Amino acid sequence: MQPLVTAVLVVRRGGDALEQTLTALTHQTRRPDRIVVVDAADDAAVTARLSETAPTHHVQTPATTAGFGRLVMAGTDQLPVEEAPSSPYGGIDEWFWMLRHDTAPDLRALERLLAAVEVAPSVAVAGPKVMDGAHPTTIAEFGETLTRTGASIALAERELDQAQHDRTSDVLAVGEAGLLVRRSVWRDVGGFDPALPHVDTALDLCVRIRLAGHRVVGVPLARVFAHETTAEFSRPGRRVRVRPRTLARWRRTAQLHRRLVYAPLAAVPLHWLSLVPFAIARGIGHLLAKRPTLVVGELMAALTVAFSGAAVPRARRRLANARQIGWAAIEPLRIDQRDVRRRAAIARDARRGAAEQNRIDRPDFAPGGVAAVVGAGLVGIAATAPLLAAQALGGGTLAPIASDIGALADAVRVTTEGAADPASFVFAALGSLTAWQPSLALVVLWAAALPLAALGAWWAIAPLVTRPGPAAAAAVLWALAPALVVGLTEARLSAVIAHLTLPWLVAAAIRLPTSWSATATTGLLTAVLIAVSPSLAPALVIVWIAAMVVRPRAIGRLLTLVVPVAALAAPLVVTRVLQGNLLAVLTDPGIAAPPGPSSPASILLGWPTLDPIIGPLAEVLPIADSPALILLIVGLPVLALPALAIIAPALPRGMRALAPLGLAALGLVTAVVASGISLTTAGGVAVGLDVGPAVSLYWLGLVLAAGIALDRMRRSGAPLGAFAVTTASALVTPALAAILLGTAAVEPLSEPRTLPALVAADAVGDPELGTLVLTPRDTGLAARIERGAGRTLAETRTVRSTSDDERESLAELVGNLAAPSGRDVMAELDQRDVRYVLLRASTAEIDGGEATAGDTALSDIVTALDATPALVPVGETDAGRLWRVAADDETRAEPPGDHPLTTTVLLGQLTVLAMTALLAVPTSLRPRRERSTDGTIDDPAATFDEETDD
Amino acid sequence: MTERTRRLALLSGRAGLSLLAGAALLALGAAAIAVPGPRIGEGAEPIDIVPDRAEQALACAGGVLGLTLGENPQVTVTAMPQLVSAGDGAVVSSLTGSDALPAELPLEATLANAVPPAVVTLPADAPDERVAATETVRVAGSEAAGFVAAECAPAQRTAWLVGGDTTVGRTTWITLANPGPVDATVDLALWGASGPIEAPGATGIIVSPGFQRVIALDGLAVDELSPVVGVTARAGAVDARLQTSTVRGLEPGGLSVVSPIASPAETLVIPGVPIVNPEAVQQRSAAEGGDLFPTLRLLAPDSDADVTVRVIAASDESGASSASVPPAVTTSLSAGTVVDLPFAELPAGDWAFIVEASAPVVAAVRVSTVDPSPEALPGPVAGLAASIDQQWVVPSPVLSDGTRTLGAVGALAGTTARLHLAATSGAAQVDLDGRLIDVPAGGAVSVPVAGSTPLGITVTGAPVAASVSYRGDAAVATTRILAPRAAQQALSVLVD
Repeated sequence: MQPLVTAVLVVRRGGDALEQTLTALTHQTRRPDRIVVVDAADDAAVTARLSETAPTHHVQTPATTAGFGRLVMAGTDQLPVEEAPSSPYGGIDEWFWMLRHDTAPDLRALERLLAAVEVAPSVAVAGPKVMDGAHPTTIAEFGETLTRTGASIALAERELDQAQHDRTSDVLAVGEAGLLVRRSVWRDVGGFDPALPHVDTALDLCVRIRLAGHRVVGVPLARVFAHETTAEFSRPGRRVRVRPRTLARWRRTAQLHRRLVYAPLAAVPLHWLSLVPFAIARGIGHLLAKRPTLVVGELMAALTVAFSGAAVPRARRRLANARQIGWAAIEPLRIDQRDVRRRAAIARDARRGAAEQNRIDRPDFAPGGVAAVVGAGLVGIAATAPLLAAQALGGGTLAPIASDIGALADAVRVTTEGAADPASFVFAALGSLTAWQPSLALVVLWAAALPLAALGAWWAIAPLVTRPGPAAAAAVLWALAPALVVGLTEARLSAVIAHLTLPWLVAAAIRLPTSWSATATTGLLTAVLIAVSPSLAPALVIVWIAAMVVRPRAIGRLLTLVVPVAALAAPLVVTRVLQGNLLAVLTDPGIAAPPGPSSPASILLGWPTLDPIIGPLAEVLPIADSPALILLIVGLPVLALPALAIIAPALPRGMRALAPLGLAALGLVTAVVASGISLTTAGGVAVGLDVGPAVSLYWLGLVLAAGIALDRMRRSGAPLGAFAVTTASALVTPALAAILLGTAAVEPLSEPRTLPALVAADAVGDPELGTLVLTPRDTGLAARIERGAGRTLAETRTVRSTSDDERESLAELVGNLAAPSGRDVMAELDQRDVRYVLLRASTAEIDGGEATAGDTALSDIVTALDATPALVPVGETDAGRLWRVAADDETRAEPPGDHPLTTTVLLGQLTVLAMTALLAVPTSLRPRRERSTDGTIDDPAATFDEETDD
Repeated sequence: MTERTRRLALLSGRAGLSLLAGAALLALGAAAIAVPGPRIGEGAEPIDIVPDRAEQALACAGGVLGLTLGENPQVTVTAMPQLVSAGDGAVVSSLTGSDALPAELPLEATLANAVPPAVVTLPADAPDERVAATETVRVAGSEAAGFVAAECAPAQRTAWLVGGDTTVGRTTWITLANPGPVDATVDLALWGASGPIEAPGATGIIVSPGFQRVIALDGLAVDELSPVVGVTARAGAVDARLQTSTVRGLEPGGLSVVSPIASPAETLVIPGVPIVNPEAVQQRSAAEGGDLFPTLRLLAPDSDADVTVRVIAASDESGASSASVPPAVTTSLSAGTVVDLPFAELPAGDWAFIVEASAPVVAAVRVSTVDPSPEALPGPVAGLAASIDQQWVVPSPVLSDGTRTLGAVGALAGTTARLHLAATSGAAQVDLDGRLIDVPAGGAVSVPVAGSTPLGITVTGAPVAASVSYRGDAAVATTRILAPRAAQQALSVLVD
């Protein structure tokens, strides 16, 4: 008997595709006996057009997000129930043929499908070859199967149809477009699973039909032309492209749902519990594979399936009712893991090929870059030779980083005093590099600063130039930048770190639009830069906004840069807002030490302060009294640099030098504005914002622009470049020699402590032990209480400030200690937990009789301290003269405790930083570069060369 | 557009861009230099703290030291002085112990009323800030005889004791008293006629709070005719004195307490050197030797110095002064060598010695008085009372214009006291408890004062040095009028 075919047409949208489908449907060589139209388009024109075709049943549903399966079932529900066969030879075969508004069947499609199923009564589902409607010779999809882990994978996808799949018959599943299914089997297995609204609907149906003992075949000669993908179809309304992350989420949701449905009952609780942990693990995998957009989808898919209510039990019941055979029977139809790996390798190769199209050309690193870095390394080691044997560095803004790793961990917590500076994270990371002795990292940083700077500058300028010479010149100019030299000799840690970070930031930012890894690296480096020098934040914000204006496509990625910066800086900003002092966010972190005097003229020349160069110059030349002569001598040799930078835009393809010039201008303005702002005091002296980082930014702009100019000038630029490099290096050398000569502010510490060994030994068991440190200065006696073994970088916080009352009370205590007084200071010393008093002056200074603190002679102060009954003289130590407080006070005041939110905040910060770091880690292979030695296709083959000829 | 014009347009466009960039950068640079940036924030001011007023403690010289009789002679106190203190609210107490009064000394060896040296304390809440005290005692014994007077002085970090003698028959003790609350660690440096003297055991002497250490100079500088002791306290402060006593043959005579000089200076003023009966001194020195003449002991500790010594006759209140002022003496001192300059021809009267040197020096004058007709001693042992007394007169601190200070004249015990004032650089007027005394420029005045009284001195005009001398039969002693404690200066404290 002739089978009875009912075509079920699900319509979501009208348009050309619907016209083609309706035309093809009415002109089939074997026309369907009944046509059921499910009209989910919510469009009167579409409804009218559908009515014109006079279907057997016209079901109207509102435009709904219900999936293909549910819509089909809304249509099949309208049909009359199958008649029970009365003849002993079987009844009429009823078949459903599923069509979508965008699937136009070939004119002979139904004929061929029926031909395939008529001769094989065991076949319950037949599926056509789905071709791409826009490219009719390309297979869109033909057959689906499952991998070992249950993911769906198409047997043939997006391939040119060259009859390579025309021998396919039995498959595990077919796609939903043009699917022909026997009605009785359809009824037995319960139809489509309504819990799979987007993808995998037909796959699930076919798997269940397979497990019920029937066969599923693909019929390659029957073709259906689909204009939308399954995922695109599942959206109501206008046709919208489905984003890859949405598709990934749908597929993962469907996979997890099917996993719970197909698993044996005993394993279901295990699978359910493992949903979220696996989602987190896969999220980390996505971060490592630089697909950060998929992370949220993973988690949402797991949560959707975990809390989908009764959907899974219902689906399991449906499966259990129809199941006849086990999974082992259909095992051969699943795809082998080897094939999956092969396909993934092919996809990887394709991606690499695409990346090679986009790769950025860099000049060869060897020999120019190597020479620059190695040369800078040798100069750096030679210049910092006296510091290499030290255990820690002191002077200026330097101090031991922390006493041990535990102190590093405490440094980043939010306490009742306020939030930790973002720079504490940077110092903690620096200290953990040499975890056995955190303060050693500073010595390593000082010794390695010059080669690191050269390397960074080479990486920053390499994408912008094509010749190795200008890149090497830029590397040398950056390594011997006056800002870095001043930072090294004047012991300005923030300036050194900022100078080292800037070129890497530029290098990462250039690659930002095309690489997630570069985006994450940029975010981390921006966070580090803003942490160590908050005064650069306004300039960086301006650059950020300018980048968003110039490249609107990358706005999404640029917005994600805020995340790591906010993670580090949010607690501090919140604390400052609560204090009502938002401007103080710009305070330089770390130990406050006044920078040298700076003037706009010195900033223009690239020197944060001219003191380190004036000293040596004044010994050689009589220039002490004329600032104009000084500026002339310092400025004239390096005039080549700004000259090159300015002519860069005039050269062919030199337009890219405009951005560095903009950076230079920003750096200049920031430096000049910052030089007048002072937000904190140290020892009664106002400490201005360090202009070093801003001057570094200015210098970076000039160096990059000059490098581009040299590159564009080709051969003629070589002598000019050599001249610029030579003069810049020569000018910087006297300042660089300061460490060797001992006139630098940075000094090596043989042990990581700034207080005498006796105090440090006592502080090991008693970290809250206080030492009153008195330092004689020109205007008076500076007093400060230090805890433990001395000040460390990790424990400094800019939010910690003394109130006026505390300052006055401490000043009174010191005034009555350091001068003959009748007051008994024992109680006040106990109240502050002060156990030692240290006067930072050597015996030679004290006995010399000339040294004073303000108007008081040091010897008088020593006499007064000796005469205080509360103090017992210990004597002279390497750090000064020490007194011990006589009575033993075992009770200590509580150190500032943890804020109630501290763990949460710290966990949040570390999570964000870890995710950014995972994203930043480069995990894919670098695109291969053409080497000139590889030869091209036109060169003769090397097969018969002498050495390879056997 | 032809290729050439297109290239020209491109080039000029790029050149224009470059010029624009250059002009912009130049303008920015000029603006940076010309326009002053914002100034935000200011430095912290130093906080000036005037410390609370502390109590003042004056340590007195204490009892006259001598040796116990018998087999194992040890130092002990042989005579306790009388204390006269001046100052509103002054409290008299004593140190807690002394080397001269150890616990285990047999009771009969010590003096019945022997106590450690007195300490005069002016509490912090006393109405006035001035305090002074003087101790005097006349000793007439078989081992020691003479009149001793010494002012009580605050403890100091450095002290120079110019005086003493460790040759045969002369005994010199160094006493270090610590009236303060902390341990004092003291180093002694010794100089002699042949240069610095190396003495083991002279460094690191620890003086406990409230204790008096007694050290025999004879043990440190053996047989030294002209010793000078420099006392430096490494920690804490001490009051250092020398006590000298002389025995010539069997006749004791010449008790003196030498007060400390704070530090060497280029100008030293000794306002009142009493020369009494120089003929008797000359007669006696023919028999006894040369150490009875007035002698100026000089030492330039650190560097060579050229010294000029001027001697000024002190007029009494009426203006009369003795004649024949001797000429100024000039000498060169080599560093570290003690020089004794004799002034044998000095006529009777009160003289002011002014020592001017090119480098810091210390100096003191030794005077002697001889009683030409000593009394006969009563009792079965016949003999004459002691007839010689000596005194080391040390320079007084110079009191500047406007200084108000206090002095005390001790119990006279048969002597008469005179106040000596010397103004070296100009005329001065001194208000002595309401009595105005004019001191001529570059001159000296000496007026009689009553015993056991406080002296309130106010100086106007040129700086003045003051001292009190006591003279009697075989008795000569001097004490100084000390400057008041310096006003508490504010200390500038900078707190972060």
